Amino acid sequence: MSSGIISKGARQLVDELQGGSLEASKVFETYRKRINELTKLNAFITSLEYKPNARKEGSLYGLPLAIKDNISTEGIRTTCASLMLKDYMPPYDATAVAKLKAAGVSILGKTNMDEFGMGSSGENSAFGPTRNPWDIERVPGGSSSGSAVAVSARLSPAALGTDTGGSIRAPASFTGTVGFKPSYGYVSRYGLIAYANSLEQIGVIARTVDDAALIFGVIRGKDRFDSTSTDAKPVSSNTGRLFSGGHFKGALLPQLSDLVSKDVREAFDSSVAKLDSEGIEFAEERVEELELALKSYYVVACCEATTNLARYDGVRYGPVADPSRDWKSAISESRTMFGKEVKARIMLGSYMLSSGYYEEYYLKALYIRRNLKLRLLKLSESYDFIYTPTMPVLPWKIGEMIDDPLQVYLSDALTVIANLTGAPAISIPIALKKGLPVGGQLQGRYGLDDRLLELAATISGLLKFRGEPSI
Amino acid sequence: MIGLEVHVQMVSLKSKLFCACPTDYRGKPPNTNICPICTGLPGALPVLNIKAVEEGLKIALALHAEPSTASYFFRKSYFYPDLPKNFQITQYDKAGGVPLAHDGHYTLKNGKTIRIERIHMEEDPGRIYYEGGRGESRFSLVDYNRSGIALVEIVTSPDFTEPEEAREFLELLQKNLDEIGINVSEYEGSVRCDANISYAGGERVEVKNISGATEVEKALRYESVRQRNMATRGVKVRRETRSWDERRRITISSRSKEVEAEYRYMPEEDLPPVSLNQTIIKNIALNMRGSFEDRYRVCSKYGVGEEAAKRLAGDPALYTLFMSITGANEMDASRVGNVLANEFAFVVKKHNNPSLSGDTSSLENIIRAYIRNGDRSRFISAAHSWVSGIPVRAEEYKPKVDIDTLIDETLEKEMKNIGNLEGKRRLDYLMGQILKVSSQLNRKELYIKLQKKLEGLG
Amino acid sequence: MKFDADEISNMSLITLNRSEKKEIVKRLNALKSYLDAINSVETPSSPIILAPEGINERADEPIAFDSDKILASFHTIKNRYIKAPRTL
Repeated sequence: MSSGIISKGARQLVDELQGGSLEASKVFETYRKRINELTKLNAFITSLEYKPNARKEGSLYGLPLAIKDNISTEGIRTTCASLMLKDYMPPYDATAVAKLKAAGVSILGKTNMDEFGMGSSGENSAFGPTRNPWDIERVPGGSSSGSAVAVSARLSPAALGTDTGGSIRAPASFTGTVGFKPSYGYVSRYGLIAYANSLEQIGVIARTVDDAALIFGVIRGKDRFDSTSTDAKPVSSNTGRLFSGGHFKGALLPQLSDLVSKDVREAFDSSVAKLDSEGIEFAEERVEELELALKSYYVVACCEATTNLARYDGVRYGPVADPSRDWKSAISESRTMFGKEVKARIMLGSYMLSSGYYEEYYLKALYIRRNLKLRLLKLSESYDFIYTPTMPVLPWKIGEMIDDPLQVYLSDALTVIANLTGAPAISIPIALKKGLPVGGQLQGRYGLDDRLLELAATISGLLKFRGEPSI
Repeated sequence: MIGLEVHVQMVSLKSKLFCACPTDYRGKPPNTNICPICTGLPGALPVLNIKAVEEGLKIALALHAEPSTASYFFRKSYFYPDLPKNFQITQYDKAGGVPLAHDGHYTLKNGKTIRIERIHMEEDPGRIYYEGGRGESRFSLVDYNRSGIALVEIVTSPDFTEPEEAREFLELLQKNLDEIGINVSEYEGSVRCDANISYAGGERVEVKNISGATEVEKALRYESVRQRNMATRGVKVRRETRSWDERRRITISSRSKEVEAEYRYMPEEDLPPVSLNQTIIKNIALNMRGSFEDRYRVCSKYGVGEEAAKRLAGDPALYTLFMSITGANEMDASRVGNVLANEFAFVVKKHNNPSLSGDTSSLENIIRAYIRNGDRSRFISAAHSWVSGIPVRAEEYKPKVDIDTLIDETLEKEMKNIGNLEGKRRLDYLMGQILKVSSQLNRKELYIKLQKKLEGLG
Repeated sequence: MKFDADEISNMSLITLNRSEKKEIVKRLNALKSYLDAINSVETPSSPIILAPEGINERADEPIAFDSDKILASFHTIKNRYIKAPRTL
């Protein structure tokens, strides 16, 4: 029976739990057992015992979910995969978590990640790298590495992740799962431990687009604790192209294809050919504003990280800042607990915000970002979606890129676009290459999340990707 | 040269600037007035108390400053034990930032104008307590109860030359804040001040954290003597930050070696800008009361006579009525002001502390009808009804003038003026006087009645 | 532009040990020279701030939070105060 349970998607589980043919505790225990069997994947930082959720009338009653460990959970330690927060117990729930709990969800555990979300591979964790279930010598992508691995390896029916520059879509692509980053503001960030607050969103990793839409439907909406959150439905004059009899039009960005490896390009091109033969129209577009997009992303992200991570001083939580020492030396000592990548980004951001450099880096990055946003908004008047690969390369071997950090940064080139513009984006599995999954990314128009999900479901149906790791 | 940075707590608010924690932290045990937001817990986000913007604008208008069209927040980064996020959410006038208001001014008794550079909102840090005093304790004890309380910072140009001018400015400001409903004098430590002071040849010294007007004067006196002494000894005054020790009455160097602090300002992306449209600003201007001098100045500007202007300026409720009635139509503001200060004030006195919160447009009609027809008794009775909160029907004050009374009153008043007028000239003069007061009378009827009356007089 | 690691360390209170210093400074220099390309972008003379969208709408109504819950997540408490290092 247990193999039956883990093969069911979130929607199916919820239906059977509500119909009474499945019991919540049984579902939870089945997953819990599998989590304990597959600890070698290092997907979870904290796994939990079953705690029944009293909300039996909730729309997701009995559904177990994994939560990325940078989303605050009251009374459950939330580490951001950092020694800095190794023992930190939040006294409150993130709004997304509170909404899931109110809908009847039980939390399976908190998933591994790149420290504070800084990384694209899942290797930068104080709790050790997360492993890819398709090949455990390879990276699963990051930073929501544990959430993607949990879904891919059937350790959880679905999971919450967060996406600052591709952190949901990259691991979804590397693990053959669906990863959805909603429009900026469509899910409250209250309780999401900030890395780069103007870029990041909470989103969902699931086995199917339909399952992602189910969870998104519960966590979305305006929250009085997040001023940037919104319920807004775009007004009709602002909706871009309208569907006409199922006829979709996608934009391709060939200028980015230099970045894409041969394997990924082949898989991607054949998906375009397949979709084209099914009646989806594609046209190539050249977007000048993309040239400096990745650079502006790293400038904005590092500058924001510098201020967001300043609060980790060891005075209130984290490694104790010794009260018998002087302020600066005690704080500096506590802050040695950050990992190397985090230290590098804090320092870089600090440099770029200091006087004389702010104008040369930060303000220029904002200008590039604004122009890109306007250009892609304009583009979305003529297209239903922009179609690219999610990741330019196949998952690499753990440790392989350690001496080439810049190469890892470059792997974000296709995903950061949606974070810079705030548009919704989703990665869906499209093929296997050399036994490893390849993801395709669909970017929609800001605020048209439901339409993007519908479109992604249609395209998934046309591409008919099937496959799961044999683990 | 002396410049001030005054921090004013918006004590009229009930909750903090970016979270819902109450503002009545004074006297509470440490760390009882806190939440995830004002302690900067991971994942917590600020949400602006929109009332703070209104209160901030009131202060800005009282200082004759120009409100910005939109208001942005910035992060100002520095590491300090009382700052839970190690950045302060504040406003900035450079790098694309916009403060709440800018370019105000304030006039001292000696007629000197102090320029206000900018006015901005920011959050108060927590409080540090040192066991056994600042010099004794080896560690700090932090209380976040005050963390996140809404502050307005007022930055003046270096326009003061004498310490007593700085004191006078603060005293006037404090009084003015009380008058506009921000009762700072009731709350200890709600007005704090940093002073920049430099004398010829010397660099700027900043004296931090001085509480209240008298302390500012003392601190500045001490500092001016100290800096002048240094100059006579040929020692150069270097740029530094000092703090004022109230007990020992001296300033102490606190961060002498520090170069220009690197605050790494950047926009606060968690807070959307607030747009300050003209309607909001006008409403605040109408509803706020300003200082006596401000109110008097406005009344005089509208041509209200000296005595009446004093009466209006001295009574915030009457002044508020004056502003809302004349706000829409400045044409006969002086007459409206005179009626309010005289006849209406006379009616108000007969009532026991009335709220005067009735529909102002109805009161406006009553006053304007009175101005046209001069019917005092009808006005008095309509005004009594309005003050008591009884609806006043138009018929009760619209012209239905008793011509006979009007003729009698006019004759009485004009008797000495008509002595050397005869016949038709006398009649025409009186007609003109009566029509001046009440233009809507039936002329023919008036002519006949007046003629009869004069004949009777002989 | 000059990149002084010690100065940045002091500004951000991130101190590096010797082995970290070698690796991180190398990484920072590589990243910095990659990002320097944006320095040459022409921008308008008045800076453009990308204002976040949304509405600030909290009314001035106090709600107390259970402060004991917060203190329970903190360490080094003394008589309800947070015990912290002091500035010189």
